Formats: sequence, structure tokens, C-alpha cells
Amino acid sequence: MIFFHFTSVSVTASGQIVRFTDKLPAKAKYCSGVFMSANTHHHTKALANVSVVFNAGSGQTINQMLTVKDSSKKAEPLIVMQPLDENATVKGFVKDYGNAAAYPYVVKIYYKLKDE
Amino acid sequence: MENQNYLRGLDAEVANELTSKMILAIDRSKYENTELEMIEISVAAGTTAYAASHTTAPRHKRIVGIALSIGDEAVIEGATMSVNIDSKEVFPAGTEAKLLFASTSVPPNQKFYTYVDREINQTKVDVTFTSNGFSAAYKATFYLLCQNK
Repeated sequence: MIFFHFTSVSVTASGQIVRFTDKLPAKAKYCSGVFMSANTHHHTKALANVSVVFNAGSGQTINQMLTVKDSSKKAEPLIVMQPLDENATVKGFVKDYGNAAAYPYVVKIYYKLKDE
Repeated sequence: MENQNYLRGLDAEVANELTSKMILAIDRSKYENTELEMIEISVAAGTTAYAASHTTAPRHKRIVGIALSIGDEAVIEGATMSVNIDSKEVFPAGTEAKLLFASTSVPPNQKFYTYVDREINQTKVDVTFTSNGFSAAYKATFYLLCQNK
């Protein structure tokens, strides 16, 4: 069964680097996709760089630029194929580019998970 | 290849028409026995949280997709939602509603998200929707794409 989990990261100032660590739900066995989204945007420039690594640093790293208007058509996840350890964690950082229309803003990193 | 052999010897125009009909037939079979169920929420102006519970129709045996429709795209930014199917969390509370939303530039047959493919049998679908404080009332409709088989 597919289900979702998200990590919420607040960026409070221009140029800030915010580190985060989150525990994924215990039933999650596999991550098949990642979305990144923010509650603000810039019309022409990228907002931030988001980096995520699974399994306490031993899994694959996803490094993605959080771009302009992410909901302009249809949000589709970046496909990843990441088996998860028992009680897997995810950690990473959000590096702000100083382009946001207003601060603070919230970045949400969504994980498309499977329990099998 | 079989199609090409079958069409060999036919006038090009007739062959083209036949081919397009075959493609349509294949496309249709994918959506055979597919029906929609709706969970409609009337949202008042301002930031308000709503919850709705829906039981799927007895004739529907499988849910294959979900989509969120809102008349005005401007209201989707900042709105959040949650979806539970059969008391199992699919989207946790606080998930941005724009994750289930496709804009008007997406064709109708591509608007559905296929994250929720599972068997159903008069299954309870619980949704919540929290508006972003938009100044006018509107309707938020969750569509469930269901199959009879």
C-alpha cells in the first residue's frame, strides 16, 4: 500500500541553511518517490536547494533544486528506489537562495512510501 | 506487426481510420467499468477546517485513482488536506492540497493520481480540507476513480 509522510522545515532568513532529521513511519519499507514543495515562490528564480539522504546517511542522496511555481500543472514525485532500514531515518538540509517573496516560509518534503 | 499484416492491401486512408479506431478501442478498454465517486466540501470564506466521510458504493470493487478539483486555482496555494482510506492514512494531516490538484492545462484523463490503487468493499474514505483563508466561498471536490471489477 502506498502512503505518504512529510518533513516540515521552516526557513526564517535569506541564505539560511536548515538541517533536519526525521524518523519515517515504522511500517515504511520502501521509498519510491520524493516531492518538494514550499508555501512561497519566486516568479523566475529557484527558491532553495534541498538535499535528502535516507537510512541515517547510508542510503542514496537526493539533491534537488526547489524551483519556481511547483504546482503550475500537476505535481509528480521524483522517482527514487530506496529500500528502507527498520525504523529508517531521513536527514538533509534546505539551503535558501535568498529569492523568496517573504520570510519565514515552510518547505515540505514528501516521501512516497510503501509498507511492503 | 499483426496489425500491419491485417491492414496490408487496404487503401491508406481506410487503414489510417482503422488504426485510429483500434487505438481508441484499446484506450477505452483501460477505462472500462470505471466510474467516479465524489466527496464534495463547501468551503466558506476564511481559514476553516472541514472533514467529510464517504462510503464507497457496493458495486465498486477497486479504487484506482484520486484527484482534487477546485474551481479557482488561486485558492489551492496554502490549503491543506488529509486522506484516510479504510482508516489507513494515505495523506497525513497537513499535506498540501496542491499535491492532489492538476491545473486546467492537464487533460481530464491525466488528472488522476494513481497512488491509491487498492481493493474496496463499501470502504470508508475520510478526507479533511483546510482552506487558506480565501476571501470567497468555493467548493472543493475529491474525486475517486473506481472500478466495478
